[in-house]
Amino acid sequence: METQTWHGLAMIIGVGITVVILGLAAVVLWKIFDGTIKLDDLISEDGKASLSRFQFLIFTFVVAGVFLLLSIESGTFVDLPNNVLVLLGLSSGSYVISKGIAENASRNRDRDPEATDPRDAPRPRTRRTRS
Amino acid sequence: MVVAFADVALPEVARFARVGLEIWLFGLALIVGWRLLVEGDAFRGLLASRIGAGIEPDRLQLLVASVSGAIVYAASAVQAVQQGASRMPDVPDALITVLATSQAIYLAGKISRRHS
Repeated sequence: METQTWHGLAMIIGVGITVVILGLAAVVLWKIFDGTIKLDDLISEDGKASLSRFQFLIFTFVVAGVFLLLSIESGTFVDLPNNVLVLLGLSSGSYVISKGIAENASRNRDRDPEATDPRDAPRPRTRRTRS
Repeated sequence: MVVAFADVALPEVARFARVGLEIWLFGLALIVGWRLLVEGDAFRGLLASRIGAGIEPDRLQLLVASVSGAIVYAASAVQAVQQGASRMPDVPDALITVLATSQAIYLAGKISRRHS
C-alpha cells in the first residue's frame, strides 16, 4: 500500500514538473517569436554587429545544444571531452580579448575628445632646431 | 492496479519530457536564427570594423572558419546521436588548430587597425 502511494506521488510530481517546465519553455519561445523578448543586442554592440560575439554565440549554442540533446537521449549527463572545453575556451577568450581591445580604444578616445578615432588623433609636435 | 499503471505511466512521462525538450531546442535554434535575419540590422557591419567600411579579410576568414567549424562539429554530433552515443563527440585537433589560427589572425588584424 505504501509502495503504491509513493508510485502515485512520483507520477503526479513528474507530470506536474514536466508540464510546468515545458509550459515556461513554450512561453519564452513564443515571446522570442513575437518580438517581446528582443534579440537586438545578442550580436550587436553600439549599433554594429560584433563578429567576436557572433562566433561566441555560435559555438556556445552548438556545444550546449549537443550536450543537452545527448544528455536527454541517454538519460544522464554525458562526459565533455577536453577538446570541447578547449574550443569553448578559444571562443570565449577571443571574445574577451576583442572586448579588451575595443575598451582600450574607447578609453584613448575619451582622453582625447577631439579625436573621433584613434587613427585620427593629432600627431605630436616636433621641435625644429634653428640652424 | 495503481502500481502497474504508475510503472507504465512514469516512463511515458519521461519520454514525453524528452521529446518536448528536443522539440523546444530545435524550435529555439530556428526562431533565434529567424529573428536575427528578420531584424534587418542584426548583421550590419559584421565584416567591417566601422559602418560603411569595406569587407576586411581577417574578419571574413574568421566568419568562414567559425561557421564551417560549427557545422562540422554539429554534423558529427548528429551522427553520434543517431548511433546512440553516450558521450559528446570529440573535436578534432586539426579543427582546434584551424580555429586558433583564425582567431589569432582576427585579433592581430584588430590590434593593427587600432595602432595604425
